[in-house]
Amino acid sequence: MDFNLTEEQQMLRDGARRFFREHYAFGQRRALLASDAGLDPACWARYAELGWLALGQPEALGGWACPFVETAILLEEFGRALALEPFVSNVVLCGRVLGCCGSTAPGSAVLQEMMVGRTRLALAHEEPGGRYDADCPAVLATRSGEDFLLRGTKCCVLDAPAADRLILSARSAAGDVFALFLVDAAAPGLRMNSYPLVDGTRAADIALDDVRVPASCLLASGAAARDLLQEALDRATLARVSMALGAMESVLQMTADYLKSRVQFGQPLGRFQALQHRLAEMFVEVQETRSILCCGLAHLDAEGAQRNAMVSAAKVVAVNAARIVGGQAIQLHGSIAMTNECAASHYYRHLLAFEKIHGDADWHLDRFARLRETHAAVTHP
Amino acid sequence: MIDLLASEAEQQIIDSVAGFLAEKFPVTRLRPGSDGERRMEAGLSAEHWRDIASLGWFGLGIPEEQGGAGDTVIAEMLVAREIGRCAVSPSIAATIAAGHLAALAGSELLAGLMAGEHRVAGAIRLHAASDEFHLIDARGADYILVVDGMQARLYDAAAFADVRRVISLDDAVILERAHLAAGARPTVQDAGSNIGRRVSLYNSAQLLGVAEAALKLAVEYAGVREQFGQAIGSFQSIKHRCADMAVAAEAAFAQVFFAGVSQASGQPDAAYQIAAAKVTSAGAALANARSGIQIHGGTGFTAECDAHVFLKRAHLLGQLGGERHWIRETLLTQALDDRVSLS
Amino acid sequence: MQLSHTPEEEQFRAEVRAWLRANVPRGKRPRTGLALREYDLEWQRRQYEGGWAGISWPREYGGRGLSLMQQVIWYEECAAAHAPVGGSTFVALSHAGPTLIVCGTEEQKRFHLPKILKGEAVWCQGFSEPNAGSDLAGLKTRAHVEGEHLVVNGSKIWTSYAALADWQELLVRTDPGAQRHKGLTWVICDMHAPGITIRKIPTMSGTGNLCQVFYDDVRLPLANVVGEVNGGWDVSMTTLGFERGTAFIAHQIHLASTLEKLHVMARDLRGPDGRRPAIEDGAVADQLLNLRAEVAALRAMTYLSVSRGARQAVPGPEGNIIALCYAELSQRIYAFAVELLGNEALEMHDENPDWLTDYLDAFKNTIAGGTSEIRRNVIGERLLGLPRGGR
Repeated sequence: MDFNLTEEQQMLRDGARRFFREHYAFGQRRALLASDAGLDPACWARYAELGWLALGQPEALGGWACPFVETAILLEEFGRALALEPFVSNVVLCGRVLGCCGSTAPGSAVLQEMMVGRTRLALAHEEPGGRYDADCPAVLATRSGEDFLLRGTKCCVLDAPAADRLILSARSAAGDVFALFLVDAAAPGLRMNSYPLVDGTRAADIALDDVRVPASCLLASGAAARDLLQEALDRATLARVSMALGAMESVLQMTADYLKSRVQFGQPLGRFQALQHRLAEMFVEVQETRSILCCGLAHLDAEGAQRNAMVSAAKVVAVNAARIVGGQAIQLHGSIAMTNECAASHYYRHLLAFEKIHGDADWHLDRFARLRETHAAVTHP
Repeated sequence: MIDLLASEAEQQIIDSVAGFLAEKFPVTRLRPGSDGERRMEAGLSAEHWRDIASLGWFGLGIPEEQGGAGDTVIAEMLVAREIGRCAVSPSIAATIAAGHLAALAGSELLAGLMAGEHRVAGAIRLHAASDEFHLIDARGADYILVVDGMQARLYDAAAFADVRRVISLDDAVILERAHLAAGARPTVQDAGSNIGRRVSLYNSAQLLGVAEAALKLAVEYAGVREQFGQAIGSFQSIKHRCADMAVAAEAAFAQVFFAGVSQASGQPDAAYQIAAAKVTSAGAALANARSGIQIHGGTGFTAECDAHVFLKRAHLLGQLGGERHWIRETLLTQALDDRVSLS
Repeated sequence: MQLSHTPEEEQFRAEVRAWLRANVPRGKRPRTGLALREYDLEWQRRQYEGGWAGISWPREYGGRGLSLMQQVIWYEECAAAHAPVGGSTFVALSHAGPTLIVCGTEEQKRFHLPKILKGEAVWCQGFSEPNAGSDLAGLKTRAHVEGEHLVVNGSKIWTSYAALADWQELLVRTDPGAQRHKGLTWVICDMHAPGITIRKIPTMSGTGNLCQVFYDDVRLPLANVVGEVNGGWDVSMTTLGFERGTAFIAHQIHLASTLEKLHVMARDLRGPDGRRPAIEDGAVADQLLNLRAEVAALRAMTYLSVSRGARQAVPGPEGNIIALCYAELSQRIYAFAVELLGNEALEMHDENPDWLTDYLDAFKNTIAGGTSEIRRNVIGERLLGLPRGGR
């Protein structure tokens, strides 16, 4: 395995880093957080122009076919900049689901619109009390002539407030079959209750009261649909590990700079051993996260159970690191880190949200353990 | 009224016990001599046992009307804490507890136990469903004290068969394995949990002693050992580690003796406090012993430094006096209302 | 060592319990602003009218003159009755009041102490500065004597409730030529005096009580100086001694009841496997068990400080041990809460209980009033006798 970046990958990383440095200063982020939309439509348009929204999509649909490593590289920069735009929901989650449904499927037109930045998507999967694995959604899809009627509740749908369409998991009343639907966010009977998450991004609880969708909006059903969703969620999990890694690297750098410049007792804080050692521990955590991310990326195309296991391992290691790096960044900055004016608190909240999205450490540890039991032969490359 | 500081009388007990142990059982006794052999054998000789009995420890907490000194469980815990500091045999605490068991049951064994004529050793059941035990310093013991949950039973040593010595992690004690004969009946047993609680308190007090002794040793070393032209204790990484050890020792001290006074004054939440004392003291002993080794650096890894004694004793005592299952039950099922108020 | 309940204590507890049952405010406490000030002062007023203000303060200044143990009983019962803890009256009751009792002039005591007890005044602290946090003695806010006044110029930061406060315990440099710890003065600052500007600093938990205060030729009467001019370091060490010693008793006891709420939550919420109650999960049970043992030990340590308090007038450096324990344990407890909540913890909306805010707020516990690093220095140097300095 070659861990060095290709020339194209380096260009992607450098370009993204430059873009965020020039267009995504911390002050702008704070203004966006206070805005209604909670994201920057101009930036979203730029992402489309740069081709980022088409990343990893089949060329047949106008996408930018490339391995997932590119996505990870780009998301590391998103994390570094704490960019608020819903890249993972759109490109990694919904984009993957639509992209895998084939070019003639009903979603391909929507996918093409998403890639050029004209439409935004969100995945509505989690349900109240579901605790991450809603294998059998309670949202019910009932046949009504040529259409389906959807009824039930989804919760904590990330990035839903800014989405035009939703990909929604449901269970068909006839035969208990798992199904994925494409639903208009403004459809009659669909109510959205929006709120900010702890990191300032937006989510919504969604109530569906006999929302009518044409049969053509049934994207996939049965075991294939479930596998498809699971794979997309694994990729999203890894994508967010990548973001968290970028965030951790950035806040680590910021903390190191602070320790070098802040003077107390007549010397820079960085001269105090207790603080030096803390910084060294943070550094080790970040390196561990990078290693486990590489391992996860290497297993992304492996068969289901093995992929699941390595993605879960990556998440668990990254969460552990995020707690240490995020928490120590605050402690080492002192009081100033408690304020909204200091980026350390923003990084912390980003990392806290990361912990909980797409399964927390407990859930992933549990999944990892189960898979290790049933597939004792999960081997490291 | 609450007071967790030693009274004058209690301080006298501490001083006399500490003085005796420093003379007869300094931790340095466990160091290898120039020939690689230790200066003192593991376990306790009959002579040592007589010396200890003559100090009156075995009757310290026995009511006066039964021939004891009529002191509190606190006094006994203060003795146990000093025993822990010097890593002396846990069978002393087992014998003190057995005395109470005999006193409670009105058994004629009491006089012999107080006089040092009968010797008792503690035992740990290998696991809940097993009839096999680890015996600790049972050579020369007449009786074996077994505690299941909080149920204390005293068996004749002859009830244990297939006794074979195994190599002990804590080489200051003699460790043996043995089977309790099927159908063996205890000589004395406690219908309630009084003795079990005492065993746990004595044990926690020993663990506290271990935590405190490990701290003391580390701080002394950090104050004299120089590197880069200054005492290593002036470096924050060492100083802060010592501070953490002090915090652990103080938390253990407070909780262990709060549990003691709770038991002595018959508080309804005494069992809860005793369970918490075991968790706190065992954690402090282990953490401090580990840190102590690290602070001593290379020498901490050798048998010529006493730091390892505390690590091994922490592991041994961690298995005694308040099993994990009982602690889990006690700490997880009790609701706050039973214990928030002192009344 | 002993534990016994004197009939006097038993009766005291019964009285406290009965009174609290009837008088603890039921409404949710506002998190910020004048509404918070009013809520806190109203609660203090009610305690005063009920005869419960200043339980351990001397009678001559309106207190009850009762023992530290009775104060502990009061706090325990408050926690059991879910009475509000801390808040905007904290500095007045736990810092400024006790400091004035020890170091204030008769006139200062007669004027300020009754106001504090009656719930007529909010105090804030003015020690830290942008460039003097851990290194308090490096503070630069200047004051010079002009006739009967001190004239103050500079800025203080991390002042909780400054925008709601009437008075401030302000530490300023009055002799710039003197060595660091000398030349400081502890003065009572009128927060409504001309020349004071207050900037609110939003925090990551979303609460808005943190401020920076600017002083532009603020004139304070010399009669407001507590202790001697240039003798402020000793006075401030008294204040901080209270902060590290007895001031947090209420918080410690409150933390115990917080953990009990989590105990209930662990029974009610579904665990990581999505099926069984969380408490049946091995890892959750282990964490809970250890946290309960730690909270028990924290309570025992509180009793240990009470025992020490009975033998010494001003708390010693031992207070750092319990303060350090409290700070780090509180963070572990709120982190456990966030873990128990699963992805519920993501949502920052009003229906969510205060767990998330409390969790984020708890980060200040290892920073404010002496960082954990500074506390470890003090424990190492003053309690263990390790050499000072180094790095």
